[in-house]
Amino acid sequence: MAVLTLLGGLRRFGRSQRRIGGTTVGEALREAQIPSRVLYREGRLNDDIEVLVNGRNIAFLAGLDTPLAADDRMAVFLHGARGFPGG
Amino acid sequence: MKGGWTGTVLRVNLTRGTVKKERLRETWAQAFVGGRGLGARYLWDEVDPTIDPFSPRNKLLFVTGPLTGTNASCGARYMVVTKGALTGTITTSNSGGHWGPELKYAGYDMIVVEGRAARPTYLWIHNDRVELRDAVHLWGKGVWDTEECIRAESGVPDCIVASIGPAGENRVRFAAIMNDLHRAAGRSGVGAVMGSKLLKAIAVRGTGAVRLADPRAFMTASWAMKAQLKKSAVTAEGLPTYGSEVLVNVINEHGALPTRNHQETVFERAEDISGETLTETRLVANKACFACTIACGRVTALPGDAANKFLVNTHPRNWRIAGEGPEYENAWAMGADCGIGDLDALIKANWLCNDLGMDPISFGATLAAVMELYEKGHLTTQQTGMPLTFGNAEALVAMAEKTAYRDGFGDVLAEGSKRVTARFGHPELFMGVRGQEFPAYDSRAIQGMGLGYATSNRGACHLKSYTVSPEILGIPKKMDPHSTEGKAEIAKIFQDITSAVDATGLCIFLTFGVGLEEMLPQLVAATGVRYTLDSLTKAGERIWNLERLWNERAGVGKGHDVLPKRITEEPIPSGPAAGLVNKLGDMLPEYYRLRGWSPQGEVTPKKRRELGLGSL
Repeated sequence: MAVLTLLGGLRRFGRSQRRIGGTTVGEALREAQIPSRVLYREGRLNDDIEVLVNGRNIAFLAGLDTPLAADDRMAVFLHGARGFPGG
Repeated sequence: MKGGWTGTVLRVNLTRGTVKKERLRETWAQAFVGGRGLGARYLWDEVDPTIDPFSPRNKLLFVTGPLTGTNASCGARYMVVTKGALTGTITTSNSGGHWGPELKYAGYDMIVVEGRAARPTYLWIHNDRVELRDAVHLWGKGVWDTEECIRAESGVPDCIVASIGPAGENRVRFAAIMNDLHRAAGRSGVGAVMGSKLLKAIAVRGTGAVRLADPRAFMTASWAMKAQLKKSAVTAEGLPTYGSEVLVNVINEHGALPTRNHQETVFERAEDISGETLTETRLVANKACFACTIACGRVTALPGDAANKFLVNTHPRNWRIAGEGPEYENAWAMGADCGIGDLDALIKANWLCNDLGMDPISFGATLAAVMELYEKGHLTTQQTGMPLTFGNAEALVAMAEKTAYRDGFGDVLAEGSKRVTARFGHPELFMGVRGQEFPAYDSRAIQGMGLGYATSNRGACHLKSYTVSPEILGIPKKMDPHSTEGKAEIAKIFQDITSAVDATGLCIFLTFGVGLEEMLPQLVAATGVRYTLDSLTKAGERIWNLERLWNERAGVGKGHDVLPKRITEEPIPSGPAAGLVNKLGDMLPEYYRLRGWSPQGEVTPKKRRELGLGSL
């Protein structure tokens, strides 16, 4: 099982660190007991949510299909902003 | 001038003991806006870049922006502009709180401080009444006592005080100027320059207002921006709840938290010093600067025996009350970079830095470099007076106090890590650029930050080009932190836009929630000047280039865009970013090209003309 770490405001949804099942990031997030309205918008991962697997953002891996192996570290945090200068 | 600016500059000559008022140069104000930009323009005209920072010929400028003191969210900032004591570069160091707005209400856009006083002095401003007062009785006092004394003796309890502590008096090269007890113009040694002038404080009481060119349009624009800030999870929730400290765990998870003087990038005790832990165990309340709708400030307390954990000599009464901080950068510098995971030690050292008037980033990073020197056998306990091993929390607190007073080995630390590492024969252990220590992001793991550090005009700095935003937070778009692709372009854009924001008098934290185009209507309505997104961005580029030109004349321009070998040649040993170095050499030529500079990094005559700097 992978190790899930919740950061910042997401800690309201459970212990900050725990073991979690699932062979992909998508499966693991379903087990994480974070409300889907927080995680998803129109079926896609919300822009405000960042997911790391072993320190790499899944945006640069395989997204929600990123595989998880035993003892992989998965971290999830919420940043939620719409634009740094000019953005 | 229709509004925004007051139109008046206060010129104070400490050598002659004179104060006079003069008209603000209106064309400069429009071209450089205010704050950082206007200060740079005046400095260019008035200070020889080759002088020693402690020369009486150096000047110290306190500059507000046209939105400082207005109802614009976060319109609280003032900028201190001078030749930096730590770096020898132009430095622009800004602070929030209430001091900047109070100066505007007294009727002034900026203060130019010249010369050197014959004895400790402070400047008293109460609207039109401006005078230099004796400060011999204040010399030696901490910032907190100084503010209290001036309020009591002036009979004006509502005055706002900007002052230096013992660190500034003793010319600690990273001394800060403090206001509202805990707000700091922190970096590059602006407090040391103030100390060299024997200027202890500037106390201000203003009862006027900031005129607005179009009040109705201004209020409409201001409310629109406030509404936008309430929609952002960062400015409405993240920063108020956790402060900037929330980044400790985030950056550590990315393997980008510099640890033990950048020897590693994952800190095993990050959770212990994180924003989450601070909030759960030591936070009393959050706190806002003037007109701020974010309130990221951390009011902290050390309950029970925690207050007695680390004994200090300075003002013991202060250690039983609440103080402020640490913020993310401070917690990193005195924490992970020194291998220290004791949050109470960081809180106490941070309070000490605030009261004694010292930049915790450069202090912590200098101590980290010294700890590496010590652990590698280049320093002995006989020299340092105590074991300066990584993780020694007692040493952190003790050295904060000793450094401010230049007591014992603190006298060595007070020179900053570039000078300390060179003195003991290992300049390669200095982790910074242009004499200023890195902030809290390892640029091997976040490539764009390396380019931002290397080209930062005031030395290594996170505030001038915060590419952490796209590289870690995905704002405004996700960029791979391990890749150099697109980083030259984003660094240039961020530098120019940040320069513009810094000139308005607004806080840079706004930009987590709104873009420059959303700040623009307030600036137009306040000043009556028809700025556009293009012209304001161009003003930012003008400011950046002017600072660069000033540095070229000071001898710290081209050729100084370099990172330490540890960052460009020593791969990160472990963690998520293991094996990486910063590829500055891949980014720099593209950056120079995008800037329109020569391949060697010189501002070309063509670029100067394009920006209206051709006559300089």
